[in-house]
Amino acid sequence: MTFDERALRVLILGAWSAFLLWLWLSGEVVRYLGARTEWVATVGGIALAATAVAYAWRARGAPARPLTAGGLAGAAAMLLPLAVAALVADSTLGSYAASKRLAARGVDVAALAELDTGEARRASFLALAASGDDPELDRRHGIRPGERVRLVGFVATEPEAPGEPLELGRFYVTCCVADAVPVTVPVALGEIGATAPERDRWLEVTGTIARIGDGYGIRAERLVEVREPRRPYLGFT
Amino acid sequence: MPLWALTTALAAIAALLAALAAAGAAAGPAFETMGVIFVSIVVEALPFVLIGAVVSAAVATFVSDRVFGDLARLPRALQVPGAAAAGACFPVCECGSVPVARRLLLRGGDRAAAITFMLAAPVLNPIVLGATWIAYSSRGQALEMTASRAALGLAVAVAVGLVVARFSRGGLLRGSEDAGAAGPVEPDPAAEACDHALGAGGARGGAFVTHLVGDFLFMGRFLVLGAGVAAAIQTLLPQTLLAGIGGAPVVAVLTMVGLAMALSLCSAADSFVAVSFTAFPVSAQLGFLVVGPVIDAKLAFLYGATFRARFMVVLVAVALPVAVGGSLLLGGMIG
Repeated sequence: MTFDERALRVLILGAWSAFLLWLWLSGEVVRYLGARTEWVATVGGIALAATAVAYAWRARGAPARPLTAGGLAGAAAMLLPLAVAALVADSTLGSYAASKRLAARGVDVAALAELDTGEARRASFLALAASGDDPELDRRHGIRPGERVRLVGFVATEPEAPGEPLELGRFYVTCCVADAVPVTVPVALGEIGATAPERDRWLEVTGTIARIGDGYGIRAERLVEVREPRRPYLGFT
Repeated sequence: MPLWALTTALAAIAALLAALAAAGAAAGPAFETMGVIFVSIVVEALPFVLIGAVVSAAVATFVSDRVFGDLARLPRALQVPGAAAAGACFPVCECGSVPVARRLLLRGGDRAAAITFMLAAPVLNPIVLGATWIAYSSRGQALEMTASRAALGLAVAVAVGLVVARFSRGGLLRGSEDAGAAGPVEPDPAAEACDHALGAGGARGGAFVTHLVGDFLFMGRFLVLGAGVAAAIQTLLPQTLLAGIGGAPVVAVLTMVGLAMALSLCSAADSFVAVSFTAFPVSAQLGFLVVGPVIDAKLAFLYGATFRARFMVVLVAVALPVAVGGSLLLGGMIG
């Protein structure tokens, strides 16, 4: 039995097709792509499957092409992302990424929030993160002090001292995780601050909108540890 | 390949996976972050490489030598703007335009036109310009930024195309002796791209499939390498330090240009990141938007696999001054 260059190519095409189709069918694509580019996995998976079938069909009966070192190295390179995907299967960006990536010093979250030009009835994660500088923008984004709000996010930063707020984080993704922008909202723990959760724990925070520092955040009334949402990243539009 | 050799190869891959897993356990969130970004870049870009390979294979299989001969007889003054216009109609990111340009060169297309197409497509295509419009509409600068990006992107593409054509005697593609307007004489640098034993035996459809698979795998492996470098940079480089640099306009533009090269963002998404850099002037954001789709860590590997080293030198030497100078000029006009 031999395994030649063409069989290896079919294997690579098939593996990538299977991976992309699995991302699509399982919904796991949300770990890697934004809402507006999820179709890429679907189209790519189907197109690669068709390509693999067509190539395998054309290769029937053709003389065997021996494997070369270059061909093997290329195949290893093509299969490496699949191996890495298996290793980080349950991972999403979290507090480490938020601390390393384009955080508050470089990115103006308010500029991102302005992308949402509609009138909001309830304060969103991004609107709260961008609040404080422009009262008109705050009004348009539904920021009303004292109003009850519920947000889900991961603990990006633990309280530095008793009584200090924790930072609840989410990533906003446009096309893929490479362009993710971390956004954080301060959460004042108040009387429930005795048991501040660890970093990267996903929380559902219920409370009221309140002035915290330079902007608005949540004065927490209830913290519940929850599972990571099915769609861990948010989108701008 | 004998079965024992395949078994050995699979065992080696398993050992590599075990080593990666151990490294991941040791590195923790850094490894996870890098891994997620790495896979994400490849998952998003690979289908676009496939689209580029489809177009490339179609050019190789279905476009006759006579068409290329006719095109080659046109004056360059017509070919280059025509290539830019074609790029504007090609709705893929930068990963998809490289295999098409490579195929155009292999078929003896004009060097200036092929390079102009490759560099114009990721900036001028309607998806990218539409995203730029949406991103900057909230700032009331949609028209100015979109038009400036298109104009400067076109200027960079044409300038690099013309200069590369002028200073590329002996061929542009790796492993080639010659290329250009003299006809389809350049041998394919990816030998595996032309599986003649397979393609010659069947109809054009068979040749199309073999070209498609060859181009896809040839470009794909280098995309993977570039994505790995981009993911490492995104994870390990303290971006907040880079983003915190301000100062003179020239420094700001150079900083944002450096950031664009390091981040390797898709050109369809980069405007949403650029618009958030309000600490930087518009000229710096424009530099980010124009240079990113042309030169970045991911593309460096695709270019390196496709072109001779001289191309990279000319690309950087021409594109950066045009982009930086143009960004300062247009950014100053926008205000």
